[in-house]
Amino acid sequence: MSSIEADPRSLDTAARAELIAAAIRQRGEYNLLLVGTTIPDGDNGMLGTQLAATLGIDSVNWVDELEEIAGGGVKAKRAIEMGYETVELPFPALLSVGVALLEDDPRAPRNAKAMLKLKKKKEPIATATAAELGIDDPNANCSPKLAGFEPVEQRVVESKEIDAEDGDALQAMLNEVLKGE
Amino acid sequence: MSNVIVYAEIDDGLINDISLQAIAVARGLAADQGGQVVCLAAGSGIAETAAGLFSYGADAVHTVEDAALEGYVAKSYAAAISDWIASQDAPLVLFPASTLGGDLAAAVATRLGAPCALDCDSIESEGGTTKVKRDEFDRKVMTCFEAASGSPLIVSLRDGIAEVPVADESRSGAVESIAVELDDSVKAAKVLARNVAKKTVNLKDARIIVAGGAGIGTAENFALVKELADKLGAEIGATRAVVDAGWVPADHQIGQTGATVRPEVYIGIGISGAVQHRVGMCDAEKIIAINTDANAPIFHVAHYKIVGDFKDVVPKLIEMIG
Repeated sequence: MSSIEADPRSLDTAARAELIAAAIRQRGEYNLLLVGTTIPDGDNGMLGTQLAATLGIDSVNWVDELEEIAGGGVKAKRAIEMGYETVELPFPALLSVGVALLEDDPRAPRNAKAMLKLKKKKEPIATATAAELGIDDPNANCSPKLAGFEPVEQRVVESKEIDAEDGDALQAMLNEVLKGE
Repeated sequence: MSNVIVYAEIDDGLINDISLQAIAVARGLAADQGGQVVCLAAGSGIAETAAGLFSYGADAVHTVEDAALEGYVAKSYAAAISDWIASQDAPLVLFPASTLGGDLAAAVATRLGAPCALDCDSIESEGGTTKVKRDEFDRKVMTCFEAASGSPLIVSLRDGIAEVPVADESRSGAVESIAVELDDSVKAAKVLARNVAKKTVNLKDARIIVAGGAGIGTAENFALVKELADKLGAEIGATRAVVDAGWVPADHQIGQTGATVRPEVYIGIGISGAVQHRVGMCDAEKIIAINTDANAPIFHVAHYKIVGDFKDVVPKLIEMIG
């Protein structure tokens, strides 16, 4: 287990991918990299895809299921609009694992870092700095620059609680919604 | 003169809707800069479909075709189109923020060392600076990015960025094929199987949608959802969990990997309302939610909260509608 020390505030996804790629290269050979699709600035799998592109390896985004690991490669099922695709990749390969299946699933995504700490309580975590990975200034090429945040006007929903047992209230709700009464 | 490049995603012989919306956006941006809208498509056997891009507003259409591009794989597609994009010297390249379009945008950006902003909800260009914005954190904050011109800015645009342009059949042109030699190292990965539902329902134009979630429990119970929808003349919607369970086909799915809908009335039954579903339906004019869990997140966006068992409530509603 190892971690990278860098101020994450100003890093963009490409810079993060480059730091992680440098650390992976330093560790040597590998077959399979797993990354989550949810990253600090969005749920879009960008980190995994850019990490794979930086390392020059094959990748699949939005993976819902690892179907098979055999024959020097991996078969993964990815969620796409209105269905699925099964993709076969040779090693080394990267899979970005999505949460599409969790959209109506009561299981909340677990905090991976906390889980690892529990499981590997006694194992020391090696830490590398950007300089040790051969990157002088991880922020050097960050672009586009964050220009700020704007609040989004929140839609104010006037919410009425309707008693499920109250037939009149249910009827009144239907009339309001369907006939605009 | 600055051209705007639009990557048009073609699946199963159809140009995807967000790509068409991106062409509309590109027309506005290119007009401001006295440039043209140049469309790019990649795949196998796509030339005929790609020719249709002219009617939606493309001034030029280029394609990369190779048998190895039959199914989408990030590395092979990025290898196929990146060099050509770099050769165009265009300041802006737009991709659709579909699951695969956004993925390709990120991979191309890394290959080109270009700045990249995914999932944008607005884009404007002024005096050499491009500003993009996207809704984040459960639509509470709009994050704004700026990129100065230099290397091409790669952007993916979300569904709803513009109206799909009306096809103008009088516009036409010749598709130009880009010759690319893909080496064997990018041909190793393959799409083995594709299982995508044909679109049979039109959720986007539905006036009323009755949608069910995992809380419905079984396929048999889902019949109640269908019965209520029938009574109301409504379309049937569903969450991904319901589609995965096989209770309804995938074209009924609403949310992040499904349709984004804005009906007059949306009735959500047994849907907890995780953000992946909410993003697809929270702009409905009137939302009724029925759930046993009073703390279900769907109640945050519902105009009418009914805390109760749908097996009791839905039959009552069906009877009242008559």
